[in-house]
Amino acid sequence: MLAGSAILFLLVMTLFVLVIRRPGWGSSVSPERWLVLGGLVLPAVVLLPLIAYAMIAGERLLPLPGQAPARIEAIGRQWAWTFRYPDHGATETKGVLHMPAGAPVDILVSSQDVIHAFWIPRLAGKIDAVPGHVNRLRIQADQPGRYAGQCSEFCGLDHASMRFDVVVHRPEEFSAALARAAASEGSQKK
Amino acid sequence: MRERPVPSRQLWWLAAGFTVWCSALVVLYAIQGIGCAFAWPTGTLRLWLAVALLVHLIVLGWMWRDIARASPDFGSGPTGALLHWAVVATLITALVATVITLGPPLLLTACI
Repeated sequence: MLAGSAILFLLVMTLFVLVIRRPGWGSSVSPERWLVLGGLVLPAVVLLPLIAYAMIAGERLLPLPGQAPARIEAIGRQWAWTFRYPDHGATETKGVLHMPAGAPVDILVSSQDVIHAFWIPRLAGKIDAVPGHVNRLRIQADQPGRYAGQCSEFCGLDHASMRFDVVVHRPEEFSAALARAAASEGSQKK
Repeated sequence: MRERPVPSRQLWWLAAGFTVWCSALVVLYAIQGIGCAFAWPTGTLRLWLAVALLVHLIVLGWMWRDIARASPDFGSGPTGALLHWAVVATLITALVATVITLGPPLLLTACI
């Protein structure tokens, strides 16, 4: 995506510099044709494949019944996130979501007060956290690492700081890492 | 010869194409929501969605053909000609937008 946007940026800047440095350059092409090429053909060439890619990726991540990936509950409240791991007993983490790499995970998103929205930009997908209702979002992180998450629905004065971290572990290390993180939070409380 | 002014009510034609697009979006969304809530068979749901989309495309195509023949009174002179061109352009854009934004989802999973 970054490479594609860099190519487009270079293309536009090249045209811009050519027009500045060589007045009259491009005048053999009529203004109408420039408008059609730059305003219709170029966006169509760029956006149509992106639409197709997004639809295929979205279809792959649909939480279809019949599959049973790991579940993590994400509960929003003004202005923090709590994560619970029903597949790992009563484990709970605050402000940090731990998940395994290389496998789909269902995030069960809800809220304790107003409407929030759960979003991890690098992992795509975004879904509302609605009080009294559980929304299901299926995501997958291919690589271990640290990602940023953010509430993306205005939810009050401190909405902008309602962030969370996502720590993606190697699958074989996930259970131990989650237990360590939960224990560390428990000891901090004491 | 003086230019005959464009009747102001004819400016509404600029919104006509995308009003139909809005209608298509709302109707398709509603059919999908109702169909999924009442567990319609996938084939039936897709058929209703396709029919709704087709009806809106026919309406847009009919408006395009009709307006291209300049049946409304856009006045005379360059302003009327510009308005006529702009209305036809919005109708074509709305038609293409309807196909691109509402057509492909018919091929995707309808309900989960």
